[in-house]
Amino acid sequence: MSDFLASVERRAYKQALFAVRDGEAALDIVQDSMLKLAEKYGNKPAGELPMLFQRILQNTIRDFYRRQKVRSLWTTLFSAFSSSDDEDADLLETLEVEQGSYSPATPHGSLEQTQVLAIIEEEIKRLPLRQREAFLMRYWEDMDIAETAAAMGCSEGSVKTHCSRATHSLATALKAKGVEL
Amino acid sequence: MNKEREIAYKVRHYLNLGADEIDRGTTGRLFEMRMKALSHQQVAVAQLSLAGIGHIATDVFLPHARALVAIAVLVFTVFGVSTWNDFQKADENGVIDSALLADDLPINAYLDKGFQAWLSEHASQD
Repeated sequence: MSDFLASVERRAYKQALFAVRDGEAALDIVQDSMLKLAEKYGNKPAGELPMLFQRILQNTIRDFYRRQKVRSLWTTLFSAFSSSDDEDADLLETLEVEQGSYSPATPHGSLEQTQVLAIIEEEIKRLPLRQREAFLMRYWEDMDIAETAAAMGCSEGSVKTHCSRATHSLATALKAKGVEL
Repeated sequence: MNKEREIAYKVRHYLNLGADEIDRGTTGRLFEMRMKALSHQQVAVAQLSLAGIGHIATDVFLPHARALVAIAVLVFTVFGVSTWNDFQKADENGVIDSALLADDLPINAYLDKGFQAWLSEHASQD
């Protein structure tokens, strides 16, 4: 369990961050997911943990959306001054994260890599929820189609469709921004 | 499909770079979260190992707790009513027995001097 959580925690945080676009909320989501996994499925075989954890993580993200929806409803009702600066805030936050310790061979290469990473992460955030879930589980978490379908609670055909659309959308968006993969 | 996978794996490469670049503060908090989760897992395991019976109790009996409580109350009530009836019957039988014993002798027998003498004679023999 410890090894599994250690191997998955960073990606889980990034997944949550892509979904909710708020570092603190993403950490809360990861914490809740880890606790639920450890408390409820601590005695499950290691092979089942990735699917279970992803299922918990995605459900926790959805719970966050629901709570946020209710909160924004009340905010809209009681305040005419609700701000909608999320896009700007996200961009700044992304730029902050990019100033990390990764160091490619040349400064130019480093800058280029940082820029490509920022664009990719931004486009991942823009994907529809289900497409993003399917794409990240399938290609980042290395889960097979059956596991992804089980974690998402949908058919294997739907997973293939979501993955295909996500990849197509990403490729198109990146090409439009001059990024060739 | 292969083209899709190729693009996906290139994207994955960048995503991994992004995950590696998470700042120290955040990785520190992720570590704390992991430790907290693991401590909760140990508690859960300890509870299970201590109480296989508890596990059975929660899994088997808890879902039927209402029915079990209702049955227990019913049994207790039936037993209580039955016991109460037994006491009542015993009291009634006592009264009836006394009456029957008393009715064995006509009331005039108590007025008979010979009977009184016979009673005192038998009492002295006992």
